Amino acid sequence: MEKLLEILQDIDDSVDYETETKLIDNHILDSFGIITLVSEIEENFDVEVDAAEMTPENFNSAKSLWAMIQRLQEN
Amino acid sequence: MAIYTNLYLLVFLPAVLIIYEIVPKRFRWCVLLAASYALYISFSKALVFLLIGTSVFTYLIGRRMGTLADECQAELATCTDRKQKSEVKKGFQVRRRHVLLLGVLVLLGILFYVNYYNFVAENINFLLGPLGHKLPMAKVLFPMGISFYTLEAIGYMADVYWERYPAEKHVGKMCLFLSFFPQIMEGPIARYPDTSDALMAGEPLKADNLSEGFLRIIWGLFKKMIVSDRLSYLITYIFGNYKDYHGSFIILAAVGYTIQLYLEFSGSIDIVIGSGKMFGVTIPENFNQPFASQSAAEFWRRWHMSLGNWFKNYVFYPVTVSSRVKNWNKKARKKYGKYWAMVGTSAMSLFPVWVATGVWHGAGWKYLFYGMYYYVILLLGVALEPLKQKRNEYLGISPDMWWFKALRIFKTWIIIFVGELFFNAKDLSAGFYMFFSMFRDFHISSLWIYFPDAITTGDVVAIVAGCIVVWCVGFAKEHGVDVKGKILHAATPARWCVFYAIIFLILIFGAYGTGYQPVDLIYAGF
Amino acid sequence: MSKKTKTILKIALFGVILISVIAGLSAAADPIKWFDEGRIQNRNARLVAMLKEPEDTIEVANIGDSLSLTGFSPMEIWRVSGITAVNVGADGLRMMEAYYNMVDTVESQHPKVMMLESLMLFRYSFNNDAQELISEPLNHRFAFLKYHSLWKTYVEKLGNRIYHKGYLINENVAPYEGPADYMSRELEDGGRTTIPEFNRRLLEKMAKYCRDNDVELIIYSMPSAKGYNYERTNTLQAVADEIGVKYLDLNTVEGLDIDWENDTNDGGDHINYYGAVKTAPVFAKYLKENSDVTDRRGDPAYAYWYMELADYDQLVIAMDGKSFQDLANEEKEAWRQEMLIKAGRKKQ
Repeated sequence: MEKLLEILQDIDDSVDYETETKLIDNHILDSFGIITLVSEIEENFDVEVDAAEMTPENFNSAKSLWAMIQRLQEN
Repeated sequence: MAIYTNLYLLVFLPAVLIIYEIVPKRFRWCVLLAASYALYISFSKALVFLLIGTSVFTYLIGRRMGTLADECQAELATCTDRKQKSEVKKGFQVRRRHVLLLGVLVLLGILFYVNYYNFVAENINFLLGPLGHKLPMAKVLFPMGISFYTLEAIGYMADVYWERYPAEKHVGKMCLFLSFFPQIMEGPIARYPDTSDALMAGEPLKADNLSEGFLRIIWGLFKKMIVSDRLSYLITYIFGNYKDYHGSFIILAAVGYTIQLYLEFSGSIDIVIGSGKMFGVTIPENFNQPFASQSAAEFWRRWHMSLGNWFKNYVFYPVTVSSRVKNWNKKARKKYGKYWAMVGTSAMSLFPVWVATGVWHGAGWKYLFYGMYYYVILLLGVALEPLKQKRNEYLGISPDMWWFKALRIFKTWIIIFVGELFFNAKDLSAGFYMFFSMFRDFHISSLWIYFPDAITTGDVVAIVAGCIVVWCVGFAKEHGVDVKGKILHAATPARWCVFYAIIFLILIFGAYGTGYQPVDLIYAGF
Repeated sequence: MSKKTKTILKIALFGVILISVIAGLSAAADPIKWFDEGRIQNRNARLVAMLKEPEDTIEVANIGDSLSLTGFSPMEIWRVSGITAVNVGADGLRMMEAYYNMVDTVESQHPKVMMLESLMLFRYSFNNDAQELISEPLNHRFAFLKYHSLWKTYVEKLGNRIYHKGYLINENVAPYEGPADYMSRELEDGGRTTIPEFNRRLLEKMAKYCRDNDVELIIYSMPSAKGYNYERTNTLQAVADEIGVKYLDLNTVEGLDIDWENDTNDGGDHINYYGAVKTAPVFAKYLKENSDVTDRRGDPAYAYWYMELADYDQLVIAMDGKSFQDLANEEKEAWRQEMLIKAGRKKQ
């Protein structure tokens, strides 16, 4: 989780990721941020994020991102 | 029967509302479906069968993917070891992908044939002209709304494929989702869960919904009838006689067309959303004060949002996470560093989005150019981001400074105006001709000396006054004032006064009357 | 009271208030009392001019689209016959509007004859006519809606030139270049040869309305090399016979010699002033033979018609082979030159 927060801070450090739950809905993460985020996640956690995962529900908060990563790691 | 006509507003919509209310709850969706097909037939006659066929086809594709998923689960339950499981999964995945592919290709094939066949044939004939072989031109009838409902159908198929929601089991629900009468002409492009449940629910009419829907509809009429329809004559005239005009007139035409398009498109979407609201159906929003955007990227998040979202969800993300792009990204990060990998990935992912956005509007080089125009601007925006940050640090600019914001908004306006100039030009070469003649023989005084007779002083007064009202409402909304909520929650006399005020402004200052030809919706042609 | 009843009552009250206010404003906006023709938008200008004629002085009302406005000159007809006629049509007139023009005319002038130019019978589109089926009765009932654009005249000058009983003088000449026997050709635009059901029913309604009000309804076809052929006029004759009204075809009538080199202003669609001078005696003769119109020449109560005729003759000379559009363009061009000098973009 800490690694994930680090990655997020790297993309935009003006956001409090512990509490923010509308990263996508409020356009805090833009499309380009998502490109970076996906490649960082894949690199750091050794998972494959495929098209089916690209939903606001998965990307709206650090918590949901973490849940997605864990789910992907289990498979 | 277009949704801004008195036939729709004074007869069709009230009649459907009344029938909907008196019919028992479980048949109400049938009323909506019958009304939708009736409206469709008034536009496209027998092509309603294409719409029905598309709906049934989409339903069947969804069902097939659904049963494959069930079979997959059943088979997985019998498997014990992990390797076997993953193989079974992969096998079904491939089969499901084939079904999806079939669905998408058939729908895109129809869309392609209707929209682009003649354009492509023309260009092939031009290239192969010397060889003497000619492709025949097809006389294609245009099925109303095909560009909108095709995207909705493809979105549904893709979501079912990705198992975001289960396949629909009720064919009537699918038919109603794709054909719902307010939306059929020009969207917004909804996703299946957005409207389908509310459409089927048959909830009784509610006073609050009726009131809200009514407000939305008259507000939409206000924008279209007072500003847009009056501007339309002038804009059509200048764009039609573009060789006679230059300098300040081209700027007027570009700005005027942008205003006309925005107020007409967002105004008719207000009528769409208002109509849906009356039945308790919440149709997704399509505009969010686009002219307050500080960048082209932000503009596309606020303008024709349902189209932008569709391309983001079904083109941009899938391309971004496709294995080829990801592999390239991985290599590039090592080789060129994070920044260039990001720019390169963006370039690859954005390209199909903007080609598709361009040609979705129609066949023609100018639409492709329009897409590429935004592609280049957005990509530059990404690539120059670090440079901009450095500049701001160096100059001590904070992005929150009001004048910096204003400057960025103004810059975005110019990008939009130029884009719409090409968008509405007769063709691409006319677009370039107009663009360059902007700088030729520039005189502000030409604006009144050579002002065409297409509109009169009275029209100009109405247009300017209407724009000011729309701007004030937009400004309030942008600053967090819930204008709609304030009106709807006011005491009845106050609320009614607002309703009457809008109605009488339309009745007095609106462009309508005998011999007046209501202006067709621009986006209904796409 | 249940919530539902309350909602229905509220909606009803809202509607009643709305309609009452519109009705009240309509009663106040009496076009004859309050406005001169200069304030009326082009579309309704002829109608208002008719309403402002002294009551019951008009015996013939001519309703039709632009064909009828350039080809039927009431002043010429007065000159040769002393019949009092007016034009009440408008460009691109459709059947619904024509019907209510007819009603307004009958209520105000009680004419003896209603002339209906036939081209609009072939004009139909679901979208437009379904719209007008709703809007025209509302326009007729509520003057507030019909004349809603009046505010414009307070911020701009309208270039209306509606006088001489609604005739549109056009002295331009643009010869017709198609086959001389245009009546036996197929229409280039593949135009309809059957009358759409919607129009046919409205025509029957018009015929009934005229019968009930003791008005002779005459359908006629203006000479138009582009607008008519035998198929169309035969269809019209058949329909007129079925409905029991008279039909006059000026494309084939004896004694009218339209010179398609000189008598048309737009290559054979509309006839111009010179053509209208030729149609006047034909109309006069037909009206005298087929209805009991009166010759008012010499009647002192109608002396003002002679004054208007003198004015008309003067204008015909002054226009010097031009149209109103030409004159407006010339005026505008002169104004532009002046403005260019003012803006310093041109030397005096």
